[in-house]
Amino acid sequence: MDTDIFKVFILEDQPLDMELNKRQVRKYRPDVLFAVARNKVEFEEKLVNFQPDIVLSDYNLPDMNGLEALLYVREHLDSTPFIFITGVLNDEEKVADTILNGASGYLLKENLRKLPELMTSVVDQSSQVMQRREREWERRKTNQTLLRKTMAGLRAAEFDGKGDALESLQQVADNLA
Amino acid sequence: MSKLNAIEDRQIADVLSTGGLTVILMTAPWDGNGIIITSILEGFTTRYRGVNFCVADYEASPRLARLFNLLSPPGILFLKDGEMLERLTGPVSAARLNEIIKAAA
Repeated sequence: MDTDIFKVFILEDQPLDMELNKRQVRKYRPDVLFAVARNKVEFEEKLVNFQPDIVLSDYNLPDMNGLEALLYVREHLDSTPFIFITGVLNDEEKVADTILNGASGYLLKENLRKLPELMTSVVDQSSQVMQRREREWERRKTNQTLLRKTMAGLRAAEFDGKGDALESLQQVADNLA
Repeated sequence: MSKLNAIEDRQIADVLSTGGLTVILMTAPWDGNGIIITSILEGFTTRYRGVNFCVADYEASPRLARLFNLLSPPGILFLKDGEMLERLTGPVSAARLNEIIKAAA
C-alpha cells in the first residue's frame, strides 16, 4: 500500500449504519476513499474494479448474506481483509463458521466505536499480503503502459501489416488487463 | 489552456475532501481517447458550473492511478464526499458522461 489514501468498501443497506461506519473509519484514517454497495448487484458491480484495502460488511442484506459476500471477496480479491459489522453475528457457532471461512474479524454494531482499533489490528496482520498485491499491481501497470504507448506510436507510423500488428497488440493488452 | 483543473498526486487528499461532485480524467499525451474526452468534459464545464472538473497526467500521477486502480489511460472517476460513485475506462460517449454527471450533480 504505497499510497497514503486508504480504500474502504462498505456493504451495508441501512443509510444510518453506513454513515456511522464511515465516521468510525475516518477516525482510523482521515484520508480515505470509500466505495459503497447496498445490495448484491452493486456489490458485484463495484468491488473488483475498486480494489479495496479492506471490506466492511453487514451480515444480513436484502438479497444476500455476509458469508456470500465474504466468499465472493475471497474468490475475486484473494486475501483482502474483511470485517463483519453486524447486529446479528452473536451466535458462537456462526462466529466460528465465519472466521473459518476467512473473515479477518467481526464487530457487533453496538460496539462500533471499537472499529478503528480492530482495523489497526487487521491491517497490521495483513501488511505482507497488501505489499505483495501492490507489487503485482505495479508490474501489471508497467506492462500495460508500455504496451499502450507502443501502440500509440505505431498508429502514427505507416508500415506494411500495420492493421494486423495493432490488432495483435490489442489482444495482448486486453489479455493482460 | 484547458478548462479542466490540472491536479497531481499531492492534491489527492484535497480532492477527496471537496464537497459536491468531482470528475477526474486521467490521460496522457499519447492517449487518443483522452484527447476526445478532454474536449467533451471542457464542453460540460459551462453546463455544470457546480462540478469540479479535473485532469491528471497518468504517468506523472502514479498514486492517483493506483488509488483508482487504473492500469492504462483513459480513466474517468466520479467522486462525491469522499466516495467513488463511478469509474469508467476506455472510450466513452458524451451521452454516457452527461447521464452520470446529471444524476450525481
